[in-house]
Amino acid sequence: MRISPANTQRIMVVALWTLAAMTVFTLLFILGYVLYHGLPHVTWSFLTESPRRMGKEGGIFPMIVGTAMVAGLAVLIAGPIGVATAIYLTEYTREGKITAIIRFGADCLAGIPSIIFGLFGFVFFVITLGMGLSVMAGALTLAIMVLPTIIRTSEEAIRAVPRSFSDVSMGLGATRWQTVTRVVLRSASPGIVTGIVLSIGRCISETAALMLTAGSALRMPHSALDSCRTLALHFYTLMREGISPAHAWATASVLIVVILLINLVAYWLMRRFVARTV
Amino acid sequence: MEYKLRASRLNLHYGAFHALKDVSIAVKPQMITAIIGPSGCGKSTLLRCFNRMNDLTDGVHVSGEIRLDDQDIYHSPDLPVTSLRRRVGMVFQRPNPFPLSVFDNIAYGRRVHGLSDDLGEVVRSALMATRLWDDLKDRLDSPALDLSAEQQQRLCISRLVAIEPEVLLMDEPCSALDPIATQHIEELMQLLAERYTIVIVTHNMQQAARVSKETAFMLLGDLVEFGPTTDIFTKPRDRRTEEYVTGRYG
Repeated sequence: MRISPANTQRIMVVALWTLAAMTVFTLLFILGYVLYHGLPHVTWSFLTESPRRMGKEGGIFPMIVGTAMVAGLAVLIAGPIGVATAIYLTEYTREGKITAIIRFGADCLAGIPSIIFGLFGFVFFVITLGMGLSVMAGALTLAIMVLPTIIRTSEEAIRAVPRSFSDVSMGLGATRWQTVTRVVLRSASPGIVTGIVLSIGRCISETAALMLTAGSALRMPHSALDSCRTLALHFYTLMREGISPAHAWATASVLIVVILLINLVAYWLMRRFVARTV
Repeated sequence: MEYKLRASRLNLHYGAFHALKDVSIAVKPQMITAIIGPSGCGKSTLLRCFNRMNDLTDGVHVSGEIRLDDQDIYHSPDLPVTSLRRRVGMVFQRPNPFPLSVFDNIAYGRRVHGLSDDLGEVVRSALMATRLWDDLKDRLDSPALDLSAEQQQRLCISRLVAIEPEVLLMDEPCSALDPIATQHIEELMQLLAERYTIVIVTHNMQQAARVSKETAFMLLGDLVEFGPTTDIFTKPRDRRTEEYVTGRYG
């Protein structure tokens, strides 16, 4: 029996809708599951106290601080390098062997599993440079890890700026650098910010690379050379060692809510930028 | 008669393609000179030589000489390309304001040249020069992209006028506009020609005939004929010019 085009259309609408709905449903299910198990344990004291008895009791304040320090420092290091690389690739050089090598390098870097970055960070930053297990070693490792993302998203954002903008700017006698800073980066900033925010998200959720570089100290990190334990690693330890599933879920809830908030902030920033410039 | 811009034996290669062949042309000050010719004849390329916009394209090689007043624009150490482009500005085919406010668009050129004094007055007189002031004086903070196509093109001309150039290069400035707007921009060009030297590239022969005093006809990279506009259109010396202006090809 042949199915008429009109019926095929109806079937496909339902099928596509169902598949699309599954994506959203999966997200909502995971969110709901984690928050259902975790939120009841998230209290003010859980957020503001230090852990006691390996995390069975007390809170996660040092982990929140540690996560913010590692992720913040990583993006502070990788952001400028990544954006500068993207500017160089798009505005200051011609397509050729060198750009191909840089791009290929960035792509390869993006494909390396995070545990390998962890191993490298351990050998190089922790041992060779003598940083020890520390916020700095973790941040540098993550910086290398997210660099390709920042380069690629910035590069695409810069390429999406109409060529006519830079032509006009140069035509008015602006230098290349004035053109880049006043016209190109301005128009590309929503895309660049998006890439950086995605990178913050990746830093916050990274576990394997930090196990070997930032360590898992329960103490509050007081400087970049102290060891710290990030939220994701705390969750992993609590669960893996069976210390406290309740606190593990609570930590996961905090992690998820933070990432959602960061995404919301990113959307808000982007919309503001777009509204202002267009 | 003195000359404002003068190209002598200008050759331009784009990779292996010989885009301009031994072109010599002298543009007189404070009047409109038109460059006409079929698509791909090199007229825009020639225009883009006058403020070295071709430098921005990969694979372009220029030889020969262009002088602005008495300075060689490619080789004078005291005429860096940024100063050249301040003196010889360009209006592009499509209106292309920055996604900024009306005010910031016009102030842009002043700011990159470090001339940030009296911007309000500069913006006002630049808008007066293009007859936009009355329409826009209350909308200086609104986005330039909200304006109509004609207003955008006028704004682009204002943006140029604000840096007080000497020469305006116009690369088919009306090709994205409707006939009424085209007429308005042509009237504006006549007005501006009292103060500025204008070189316009156009594929519209009637436009060249209407606005310009002198016309150059180009074909396949050659400057075929250059002279008073009336001569080019009524008694061309070259057979190819005649065929083009009578619509035999192009």
